[in-house]
Amino acid sequence: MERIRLTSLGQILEADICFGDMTVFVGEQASGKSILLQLVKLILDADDIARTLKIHGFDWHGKPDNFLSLYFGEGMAGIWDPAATKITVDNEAFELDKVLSKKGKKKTESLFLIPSHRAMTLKDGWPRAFTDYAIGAPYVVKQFSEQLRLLMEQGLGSGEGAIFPQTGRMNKTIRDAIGERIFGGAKVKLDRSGLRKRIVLDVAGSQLPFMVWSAGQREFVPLLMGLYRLMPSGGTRKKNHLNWVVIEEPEMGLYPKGITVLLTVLLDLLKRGYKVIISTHSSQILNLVWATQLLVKWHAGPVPLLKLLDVPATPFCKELAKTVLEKKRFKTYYFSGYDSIKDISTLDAEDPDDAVADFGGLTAFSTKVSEVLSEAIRRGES
Amino acid sequence: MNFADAVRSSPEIAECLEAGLQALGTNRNKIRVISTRDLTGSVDIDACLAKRYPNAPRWDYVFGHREKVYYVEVHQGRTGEIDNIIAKLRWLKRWRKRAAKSLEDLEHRSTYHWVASGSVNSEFAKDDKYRRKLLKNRILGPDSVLSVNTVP
Repeated sequence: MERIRLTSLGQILEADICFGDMTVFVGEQASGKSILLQLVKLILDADDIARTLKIHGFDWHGKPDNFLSLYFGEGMAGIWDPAATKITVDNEAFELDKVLSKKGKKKTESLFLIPSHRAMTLKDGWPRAFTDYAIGAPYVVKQFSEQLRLLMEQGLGSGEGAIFPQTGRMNKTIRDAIGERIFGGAKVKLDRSGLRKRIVLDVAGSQLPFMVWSAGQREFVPLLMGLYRLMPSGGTRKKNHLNWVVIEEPEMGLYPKGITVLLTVLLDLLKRGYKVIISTHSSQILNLVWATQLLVKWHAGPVPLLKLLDVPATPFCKELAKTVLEKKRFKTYYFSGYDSIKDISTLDAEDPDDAVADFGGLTAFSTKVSEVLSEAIRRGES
Repeated sequence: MNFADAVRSSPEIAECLEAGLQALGTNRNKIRVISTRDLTGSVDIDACLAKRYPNAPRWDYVFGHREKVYYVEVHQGRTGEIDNIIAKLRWLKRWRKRAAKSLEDLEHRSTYHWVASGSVNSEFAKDDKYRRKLLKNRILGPDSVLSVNTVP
């Protein structure tokens, strides 16, 4: 899949999205980013979604409206207007009823989605089962939660070692950076001492339960477990059948130093061969995209990118930066909530359109600060 | 070709080449150089080309240090001046392409600097579009002083 065009889906009036190796969605709250991300999943994985819903006892009785409620969540069926909603994928019409009634060989899951609701999937320190959620919860939340549950069931962290850090999972440079800048040296462990297993943070021997973790750690642990699924142990580059990764607001709850680690993780996903789509409210992520695009244009070597990521020039990191600069391309789209989705990929500060120049509004406030203070200086108010 | 030879082979400014930082006049004190003996000459582009291009947004100065070339614009360090600085840089590059090809050939060893005529206003937020405008055009600054030995 390279391109999706659509008309009238929820608050999205019109969109024409050409995917890069990494595609970034920015925009205001409730402007349709999440809907579009879920749509991408639906387009790529309709077979797997239908099968998973049936396995867990759900039935939409052949009615697309019911299916949409099960998939997007309660009350969301109305976003899809059969008379107005038109979706084209690589020049072929995507028709939900036909996709759902399709017979024959079913495709396996090819996109892994880490939802913004990820913190609530670890109820009391253990991933909730698919059927533990209300019927009206979005499919992507239930499915992500279930996948984490299965990961734990398969024995993650059940041996002597910790869930994090874990030798053989991720490159050591990234692992060390996560350990230092996100967990502050604490370990993520499986606590089996009580009547029920639970995931805890081990801080110098003290076992901290989920509810006392920092907000950033509560967000990051389920994200990390999702990454484990994408970065198998034993040196395997990627999960065979998965080709796409969607992460909603990966920066959630993280301090800028933590976000910098996350940027390295995102680039590692690209290097492993995944196509990555994220939504974000972080200007730091767009600054990385913008700077990387300039470094490509300037034919710069890997060193400036390594400096940006604050990682040492190890062979792994140099190869990571080289791959990104030479082979990976970025696309950025702005969702305004009242207009067509806009391609702002140049992120050009000289563009007369503020949506482009101000990273879809993410830097608008600091731009305004400059303008207001400049004006004060000119008027002699300083 | 070194900086001084590149200037000498550019007829419109050849006569304006001066030793050290002399072409910068009183603005010399805005340039900090430890090894002054490594300076290879300077040109007051603005004054030198004033008669020939009276209405053009002329760039201020250029000087050489060791193998590198430094283009310097001394200008108010305010956000509102960014578009003027960029316009001057664009004019400089167009003029150089036409009339100072030898200097253009040294582009890979050249850097562009905005040095504030007064103090630099702290209004330059770190991630706003104004700073990105400058970086996109490879303009460093605004700084109150250009320290040559710290420029990479």
